[in-house]
Amino acid sequence: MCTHCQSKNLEEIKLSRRGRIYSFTVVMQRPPEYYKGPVPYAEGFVELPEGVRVETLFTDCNFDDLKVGMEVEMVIERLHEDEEGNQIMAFKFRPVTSNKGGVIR
Amino acid sequence: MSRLREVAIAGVGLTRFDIYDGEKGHASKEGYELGMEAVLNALQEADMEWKHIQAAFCGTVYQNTGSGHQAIDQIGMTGIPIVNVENACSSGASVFRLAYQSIATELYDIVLAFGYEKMPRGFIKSTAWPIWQRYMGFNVQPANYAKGAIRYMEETGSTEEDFARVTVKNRKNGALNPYARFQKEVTMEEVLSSRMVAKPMRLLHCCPLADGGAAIILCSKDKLKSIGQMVTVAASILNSGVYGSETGGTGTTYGGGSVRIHEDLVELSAKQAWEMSGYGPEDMDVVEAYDTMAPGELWDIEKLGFCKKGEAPRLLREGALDINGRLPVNTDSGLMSRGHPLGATASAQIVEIYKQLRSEADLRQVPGDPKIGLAHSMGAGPNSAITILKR
Repeated sequence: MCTHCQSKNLEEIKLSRRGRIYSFTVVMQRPPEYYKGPVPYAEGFVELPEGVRVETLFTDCNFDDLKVGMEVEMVIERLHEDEEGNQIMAFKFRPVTSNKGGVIR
Repeated sequence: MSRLREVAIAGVGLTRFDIYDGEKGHASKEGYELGMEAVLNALQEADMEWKHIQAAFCGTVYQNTGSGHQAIDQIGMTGIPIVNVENACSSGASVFRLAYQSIATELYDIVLAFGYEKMPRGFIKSTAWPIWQRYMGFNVQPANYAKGAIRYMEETGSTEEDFARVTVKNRKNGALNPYARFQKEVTMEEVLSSRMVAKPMRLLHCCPLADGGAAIILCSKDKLKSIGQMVTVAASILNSGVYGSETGGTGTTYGGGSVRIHEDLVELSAKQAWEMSGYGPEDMDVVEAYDTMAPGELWDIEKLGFCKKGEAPRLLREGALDINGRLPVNTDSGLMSRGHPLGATASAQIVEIYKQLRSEADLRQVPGDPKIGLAHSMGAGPNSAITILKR
């Protein structure tokens, strides 16, 4: 449902895999629950050309290099392994270093 | 609004905000005991007896079922309605507003609004984030402010030193506040060398947790025991999320949001508060801004309309926000020394404005006979609450 006008007449659109960092932080302390990944970790908002901001983890990056406006691309990566040994996958963004699109690893 | 009758504050009560775990020289108290203590203090100051209270609203976040009942059970169950409110960090302002409304509309004459909390330790756990966001590690409150701070720095040119200066000012005020958890000043160097929690937020940019209670008794003017120094409610506003603000705790910070924000929640509250009170920012003599994290105070006073965007760091540097400045902000330290018992915090902000307007703030009293003051709180949800009091 559209939270602006409550219309159910919605259309799915394909979003760009690339965008720019709107804001970010490097978390130095383990979150209170659920998150099982490494600490410190970087997360923040990526603004896509369609005008949507996605909150995301950042990967494949040097924390000190992250900057507002930096071009980043989406990748699918392991988030953690659950208790039954399943690999839980998630979207993340990494700095653009080549002209290839996001890859599934 | 012309059909609402005027509502006065009869009395206020606080506990010392502290850690009540019985360890390292701290007293051991249950949360409901802190609530009870605050209520009894407010009754005494109002020169009223418990039997005069016609309804009670209690704000808590982590105290389980019947939080108000737990506290009031220790004072006396008199058959009055007790309503418990959880509205995250704005709980204490939300109960104030309910009490205000029930008197302004002449449903009751004397109503109790209070909040208390005995806090869990460590990072604040919150169900305000969807579970997938918690798995992704987005549920760290200092990190939300950190993202807001990075954005604020980018847009205004403000610096980590500006944020540290908020802590230094508020901890200095806290040293004059016997109810604060910390009553010790800190230096710029101490703030800027404290442990990094979520870049660029350091430990001393974060308010400390605390346990505590705060109570306010509101009444119609004819029920006041004394009309000397009478303080009345000029506005009581609460807004919850607007389109464009994120779900969850992240909606409480600066410039975030999954889509571009159409109307900022704090700016919306301010607009309504000025409309309801008939005042403007230039009329405020003392302000409690929301400083759960140091930079929050800066963008808060900008969004409330006290200065233009990006100007708050300069006002702070020039001393305008000091107790003897032209816009004293967080005279009791705000959350920064007082600490943050979630359910009690927003009530305690209102208590400080009340004390300032009655010249009862002792060493931290704003000079020049302040007559009008404003308290603003935020909360996960998001929520934004403004209370304006006048004498």
